[in-house]
Amino acid sequence: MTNKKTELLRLGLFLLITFSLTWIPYFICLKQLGYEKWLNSSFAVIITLTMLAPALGNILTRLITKEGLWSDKLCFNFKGNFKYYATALLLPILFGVISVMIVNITYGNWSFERLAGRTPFEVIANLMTSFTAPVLYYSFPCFGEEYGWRGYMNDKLKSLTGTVGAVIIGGIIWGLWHAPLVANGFNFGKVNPFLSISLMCVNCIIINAICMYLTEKTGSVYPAVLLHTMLDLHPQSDLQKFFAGSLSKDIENQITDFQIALVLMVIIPALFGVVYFILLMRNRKNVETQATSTV
Amino acid sequence: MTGLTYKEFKQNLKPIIATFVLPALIAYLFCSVVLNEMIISDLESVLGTIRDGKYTMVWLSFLLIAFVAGAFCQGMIFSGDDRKLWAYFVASSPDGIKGYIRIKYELTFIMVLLTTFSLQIGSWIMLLICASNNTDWYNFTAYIILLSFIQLLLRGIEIPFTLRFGVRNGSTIKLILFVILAIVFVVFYMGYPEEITEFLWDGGKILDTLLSFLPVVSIVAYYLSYRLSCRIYMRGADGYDK
Repeated sequence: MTNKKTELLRLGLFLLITFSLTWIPYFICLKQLGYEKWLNSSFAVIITLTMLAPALGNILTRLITKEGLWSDKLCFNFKGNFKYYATALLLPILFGVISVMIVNITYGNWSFERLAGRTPFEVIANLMTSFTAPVLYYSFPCFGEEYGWRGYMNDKLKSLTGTVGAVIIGGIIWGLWHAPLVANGFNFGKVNPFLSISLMCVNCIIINAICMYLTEKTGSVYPAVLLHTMLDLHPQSDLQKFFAGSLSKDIENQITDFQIALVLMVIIPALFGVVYFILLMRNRKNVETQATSTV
Repeated sequence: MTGLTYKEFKQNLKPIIATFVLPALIAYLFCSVVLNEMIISDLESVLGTIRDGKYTMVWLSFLLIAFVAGAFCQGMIFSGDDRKLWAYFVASSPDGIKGYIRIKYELTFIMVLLTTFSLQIGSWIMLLICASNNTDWYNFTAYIILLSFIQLLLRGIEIPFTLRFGVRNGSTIKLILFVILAIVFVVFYMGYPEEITEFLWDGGKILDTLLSFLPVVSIVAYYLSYRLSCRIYMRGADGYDK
């Protein structure tokens, strides 16, 4: 009981630090500049900087509670785990391919005009520039998030509520962390703020399940970092540029940001999220069985 | 494996911290101070140089120096471990030579990332400072990414030398090789300046293509370098001091 109380206090402290470090700059910018002006100014970099808040929350909580700074999840653990790294790299590309297919099947806009006149070598080189080089650059802010959410919060939640609780509650907390931006139309456009925040929470629950599975299987946060980085790079928009022509103006006017986000951030990831949630549950059962047989 | 990782972090904490702190300080703070003290009198004008495209080469030179400082810190993690006794001990440990070398490569990789992240954070902070002073900041992202992958490639070349010949001899041999390569390039360039310039630039096409493959090339080369190091480590250990 005491152990659970300590874990709850540590989690509370972590969340307090993380949310304060994120929301205080957000609210200052929203109040001083307003959403549109903020996002179109150089101050938009604050959004990227606040992605480091969960990692700082992790480090500061560990320092305050004297848990020790070292975490096993900082190891790469490449050996035997290459498939999980490859999954993290390829899964968002698969999301992108499926979304491009959905758009093109729905609107019948198959077009290879952009590929015409280019050698296969040039096409590969362009894809490389889009996907490989920026990974290094974007991985740091994503590490900031993953080291906090998967490297600390999920561990605490798991010991308090079990795997299912960690996925759902962790996803909701993660989603709510984005609330000041999402409510102003960051991901889902200008719709009802409660609806967009709710959908963000659903998205975060789904991604949390996938990231948690990768983290548990490898014992490292880096596959989750890789997955998060690839998701933030939006491979679907680049793939769309390469394999399809632009949509007609009529269709473009009909599609809203909300519809795009709903497909890209909720529906397609949900298909995979369910699979990974089942895998996560099976993994938990396997661990429990092994523990029982060892006893 | 965790034990070896812990040992590396504990033993190399100072270079790890330095590789995160130094590059940003050198590239942005030190460059601002130098410009402020030597060329331009007030800070606002120093920040304005970026907006006006003046002294870009000075900023880029300091960026390069920052990477060199990062490289210096990365090289420090090998010093102290080039002892015969340690080499035989680690070879007999459960993780073996492969485990030990893998940790060294992983740590070096992390340190290359830290150098990049240091410059990234510095760039964001400079962006905020410039925004507060109603001026713009030049986006060095492309240079930072490019130099990071080049640095990874160079580490991949350097580490096998360090492990095979020891820290001191390894860096001397590496230096000699790079000087020879530079001389060969200069000689060829003096002989065929136009052809080489044309080949390299060609409207930037060839260079762009090369750069797009650089991340994959450097990562693959880094992995191959690890495999090579595993093979040659014991041969090198025979020549280490006691």
